Amino acid sequence: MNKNYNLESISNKDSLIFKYKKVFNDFLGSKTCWFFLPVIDESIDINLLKEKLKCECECNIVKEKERNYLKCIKDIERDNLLNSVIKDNKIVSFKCHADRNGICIPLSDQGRVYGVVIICNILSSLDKKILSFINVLKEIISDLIVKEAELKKLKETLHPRAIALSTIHTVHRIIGSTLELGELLPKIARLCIQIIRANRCTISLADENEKYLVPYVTIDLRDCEAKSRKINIGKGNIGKVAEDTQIYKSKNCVSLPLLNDKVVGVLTVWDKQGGANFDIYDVEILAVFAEQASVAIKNAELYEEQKKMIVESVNSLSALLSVQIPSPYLHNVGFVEIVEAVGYKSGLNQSELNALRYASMLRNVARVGIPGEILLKPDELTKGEYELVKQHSREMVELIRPLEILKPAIPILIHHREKYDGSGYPSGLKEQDIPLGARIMSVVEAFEAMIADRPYKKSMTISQAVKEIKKNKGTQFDPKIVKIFLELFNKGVIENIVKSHRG
Amino acid sequence: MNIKELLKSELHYKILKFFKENPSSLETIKGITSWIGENKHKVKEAVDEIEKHNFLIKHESDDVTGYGLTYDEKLIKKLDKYLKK
Repeated sequence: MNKNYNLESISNKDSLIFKYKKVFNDFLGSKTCWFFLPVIDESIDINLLKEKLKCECECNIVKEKERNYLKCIKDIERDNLLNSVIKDNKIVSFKCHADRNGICIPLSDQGRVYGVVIICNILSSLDKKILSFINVLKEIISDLIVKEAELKKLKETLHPRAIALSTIHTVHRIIGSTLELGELLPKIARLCIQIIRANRCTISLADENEKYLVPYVTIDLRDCEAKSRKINIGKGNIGKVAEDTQIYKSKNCVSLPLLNDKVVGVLTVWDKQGGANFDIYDVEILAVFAEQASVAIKNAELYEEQKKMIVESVNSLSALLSVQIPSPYLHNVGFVEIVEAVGYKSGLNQSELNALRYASMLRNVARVGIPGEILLKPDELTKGEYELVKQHSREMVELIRPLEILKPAIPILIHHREKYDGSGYPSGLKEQDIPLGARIMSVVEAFEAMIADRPYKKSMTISQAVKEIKKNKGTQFDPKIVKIFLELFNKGVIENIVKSHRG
Repeated sequence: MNIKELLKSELHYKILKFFKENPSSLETIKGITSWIGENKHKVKEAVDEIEKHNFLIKHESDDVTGYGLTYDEKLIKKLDKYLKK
């Protein structure tokens, strides 16, 4: 038995023993001194006893007259009193100062004595009645102390486990809600470093042929430019982790397989912060973490496949639309590239960029079914023709609403003909009410129209078109978007795209 | 505000003590609130302030934000020193 008992609380005046002290004193009608001595390696530290007698005894006689205190000690030490109390687990009495009585009460758990309560300065004689009462007291106090100690130990064991569980839950929620693999893997690595307190983490994924582990992300707190090498599966400690699907652990490295129905990759951490070694607790946490990471990676891969299928479908649809309604100047790919470049610079996140990409690929959806003479009319549209275009655009865009992944693109498609000052269509939206993607597409579409040759007008040069865009900022176009567009133009980005994708 | 001033507030002290005692933990605001037993909104304000001072690191996703103890060993030593006081 190896239990750490809560000995400090036993010395505390509010503790169980002192509660019973009052009962005992009331029973005896006398003021007694009580102290608890822990038993360590089956013995008691006699110096501790002397200390406690000096400091804790409430009896003034004992405190003031050292010989009385020494008498107590002499008696206790005589005949090896304490050792016999511990060995035999029996209550033993002794003579205290001024002919008073003292008693040593062993407190035990399953037959083993873990401490002794010494009561001295007892006025009454220790008759059968009193000894019987003390025996009952002994059992009660022993049990209560053991229970208190067990509760404390339980709390000490459960509390860190509860915190660890809560941490794993938070990790699960963070990585579970990220579906883009490019965002997910660095997130997993950073979280791993956070909860394991490692300095470095690498996530490598198995290639298609399951021959190599290709490092996808390496984060090292000490080195921002850290990179990892490609590893042959089956070679070296980490390669073997992928082959055998067994955890590898050394003092400063833990490597775990990421598994679904097969090996997805390997997660490796190095160098615990503060120089400590990785322990079994770290491996336990990492094992749970790796399982969660594997599921999240699988979901992200499925999402990528699904997205790829949808993008291919959108591409086909876009190609079909292009046949129906050829782009005025830029090949559709070029248009999409310019829109994406502006979108990226505007700070759109990945899902917003995806929506913008789909909208720019499908920009011709709105025109399908509109008579050619209206589409290509050189003069201003009549009110009736204008209403027809507005109505028709809306209807055609609604056709793609059932496609879940294209839903975010719909507001962009509907509103990319709005004008910043509110004079556009179909809704007359103004400024920030116009979706950002629509404001971006509006600039690029106008630019494309300006550099295109039409039957009714000659094309502008790229520089002329850019000047025109600049002129209309604040009225037709969002000034912030125009600024970004101009920055890209000044860097030569726009021109390069136009030149490589002339329709 | 330096760490001395940060730790003057009992709430800030409790939050920092929690993370110092549990350096591997990653908790949401709700989680921190349940461990230290304080008002959720006050905890959020305090955590944001502590995070601005770089004693905590934020890990975000669309749905949830978790907070963990900084990796910076200098800051951790500073924190240790002032928590002991």
